[in-house]
Amino acid sequence: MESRKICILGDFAVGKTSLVQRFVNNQFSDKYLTTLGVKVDTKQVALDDGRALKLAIWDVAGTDTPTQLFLRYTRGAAGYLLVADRTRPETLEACVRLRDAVAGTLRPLPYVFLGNKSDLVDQCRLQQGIAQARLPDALDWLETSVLTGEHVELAFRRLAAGMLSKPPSQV
Amino acid sequence: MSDSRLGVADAAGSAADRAALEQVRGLLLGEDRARLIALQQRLEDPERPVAELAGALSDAVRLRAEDERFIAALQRPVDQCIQHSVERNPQGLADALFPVMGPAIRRAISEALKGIVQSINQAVEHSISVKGLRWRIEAWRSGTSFAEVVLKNTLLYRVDAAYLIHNDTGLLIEHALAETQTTLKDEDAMSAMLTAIQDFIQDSFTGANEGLESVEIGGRSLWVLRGPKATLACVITGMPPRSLREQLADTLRDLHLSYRKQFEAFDGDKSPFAGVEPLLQDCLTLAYRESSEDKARVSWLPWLLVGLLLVSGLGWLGWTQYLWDQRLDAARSRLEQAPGLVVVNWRPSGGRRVLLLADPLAESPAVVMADAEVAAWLDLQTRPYLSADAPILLQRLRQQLAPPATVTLNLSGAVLHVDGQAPEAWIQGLSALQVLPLGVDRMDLSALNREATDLLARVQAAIDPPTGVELTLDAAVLSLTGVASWDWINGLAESVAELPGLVGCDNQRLVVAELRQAEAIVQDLNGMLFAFGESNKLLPDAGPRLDQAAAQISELLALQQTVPFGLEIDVIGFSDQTGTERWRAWLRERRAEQVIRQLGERGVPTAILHPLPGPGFEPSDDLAAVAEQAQLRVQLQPVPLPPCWVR
Repeated sequence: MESRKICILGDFAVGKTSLVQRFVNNQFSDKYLTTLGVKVDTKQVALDDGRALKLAIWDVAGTDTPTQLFLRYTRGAAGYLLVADRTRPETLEACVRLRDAVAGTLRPLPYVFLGNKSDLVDQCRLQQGIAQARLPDALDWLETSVLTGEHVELAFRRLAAGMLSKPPSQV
Repeated sequence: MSDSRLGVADAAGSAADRAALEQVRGLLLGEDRARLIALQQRLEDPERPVAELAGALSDAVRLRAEDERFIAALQRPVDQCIQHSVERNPQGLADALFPVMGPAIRRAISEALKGIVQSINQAVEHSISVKGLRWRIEAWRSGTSFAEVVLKNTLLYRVDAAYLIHNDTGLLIEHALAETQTTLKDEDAMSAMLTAIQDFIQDSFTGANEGLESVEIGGRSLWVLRGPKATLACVITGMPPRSLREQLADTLRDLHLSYRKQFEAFDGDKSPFAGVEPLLQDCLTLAYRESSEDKARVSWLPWLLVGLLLVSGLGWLGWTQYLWDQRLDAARSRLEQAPGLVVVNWRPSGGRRVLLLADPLAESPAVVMADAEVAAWLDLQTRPYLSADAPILLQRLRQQLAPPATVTLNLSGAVLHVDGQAPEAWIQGLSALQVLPLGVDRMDLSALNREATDLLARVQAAIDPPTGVELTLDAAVLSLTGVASWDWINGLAESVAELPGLVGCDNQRLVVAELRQAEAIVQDLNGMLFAFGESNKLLPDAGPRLDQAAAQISELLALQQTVPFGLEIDVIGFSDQTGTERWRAWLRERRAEQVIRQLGERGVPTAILHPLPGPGFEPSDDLAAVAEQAQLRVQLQPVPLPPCWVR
């Protein structure tokens, strides 16, 4: 079975780790996030065409500006999930910076944008259209909720399918 | 000449022809002609292709850099060039390589020093442990240094697992496990985290292309060898030598040479790495060494046996020595307790010599010790002395005083008691002693009597006759009459045997008192009758008579224990004349047996009772023979008197 390294990137407290916890069974403690700045879990996903793919999910500690260590951790990834907090529109800009850093330092990689915390309907101020405009090269733009599980598994499957089928798009 | 002219004309003609030919060429080729001329000049110029190739060579090499055939073609001339260059100007190559070799040499020295430090650490660590003591014994036994033994015992290791991890992605490319190992829960997650840790360390601490090299986990080590594209992580049990790292590094280098392109193109598809697994398996097999613990354990068996034999031998020797010491102590104790012997010096310095003081009257030391082997082993040396021990002193007094047999000597402290009877002359000699014998302060003669001068008086004193026995002397021959006990009569011979002056003794007129008593009983028993009815049934008044008879017979048997006289008791059955003779004979037998049985029930041993059927009516004239009764008939054979003493 093929494997792929993917990263889950985004600003502080946008819900990256919760997304991963919702999707995988933990292998390592979350304390690695605070000590190493990353925690790795694995998950096998089944694609619509019947293929299976094992994902090594690198949950990189939240940051709004990419550091050298951040770039080291993203090196070798086949794709990534870019997460923003829909209740904090400024986290979209952090996503843009991180997308640009990855594309500029490594190479353009397929990614899926996730507008998280969609269950907080009253507080959601980040609309999908804005995200599509700011991140037009994403494979998809999904509204997710860790609380309800909305689109969480779909996000991983969409990214897995995109990594296997689409060549990296140019920014 | 004509030829010359003709030649000139021909030359003029050919020049015109060439000009015409050039004109035709110019018309046919036009502008191409100049290019052709240029091409021809290019072909004819040897310098030009070289200059053009020099211009294109770098681009050509860059284009073919990935071509395996091109690399193979260049390998030999490059090798020769380098070799030639080193031979001609080694300094140049050294200068060029210095920036590379410096760090490489430093790293190699660092690795070697790490190995030495590790070995020293192990040696120090084990030198004060129980295991260290065992190894010290092994070193002493084998004659090798302790450090060598430590190294031999600690360089035991096994590579349990080998993981090949892609550096960029952190994905596990392939892994191999020893047979005894179970797979990890999630090798991909483990390899990714290991990569993350490596990245973190590189970013946080070194900044260069160096990172984590080993991790100690209890008794295991995780060795991490990082290559340009992939990392080899090995889980190792035991104490691996540093040389193992070089072997694993060789494997990683071979993997990079063989799979360089695949590493670069790796995105998670592991199919191009089908041949990697055997190489990783080699990492396990090449490092595996059999533990020497079992061998060491087996080798204890002969030592254990030797030890047991040694202990048994020492135990036997100790036990034998203990027994010998016990015998020596016993011999010494007997010597010290023996009268007339004094142990002055016993085995000085543990040797054999023994110095004794010995009274001439004392027993021989060898006899006293009662152990011939000990006596023969010891070197006995004696010095004479006079002992004051009571037994020796008495023996010396008997020698000096020569008392008669009727006199006894006893010592009480320093007082000599002289008892018994002695001749007048000896008593006078004793009383007249001017100087008392050595060891005697005073003599007590109060119990010493003078011997009787009358022979009869002496005889009476010697035999102490019981009342009723009369003694008469006739020409120094003693005659005895009267009644005396069997025991006294028997002891008479001994009593008179040594009486001085007596020449004979006659006891045949003595009567044995026990025999007289027995004869009186026999007289009562003889003729005792037991009445029967018409059949063989005793009449009721027979009971008391049977009791009396039984008691008297028992009394006879008791007397017989003292005096061995003969005793025969017949029980005779009788019958009247009624009935047939056969009936009467049967009845007589039954009646005799009935009396015997009744006496037997009263404690009389039936073996001494003999049934005797009485005579029939005819022709007996005995009145008893016609009565319905049984009768006892007892016969006693007296024993002859023992002879007294006839000189």
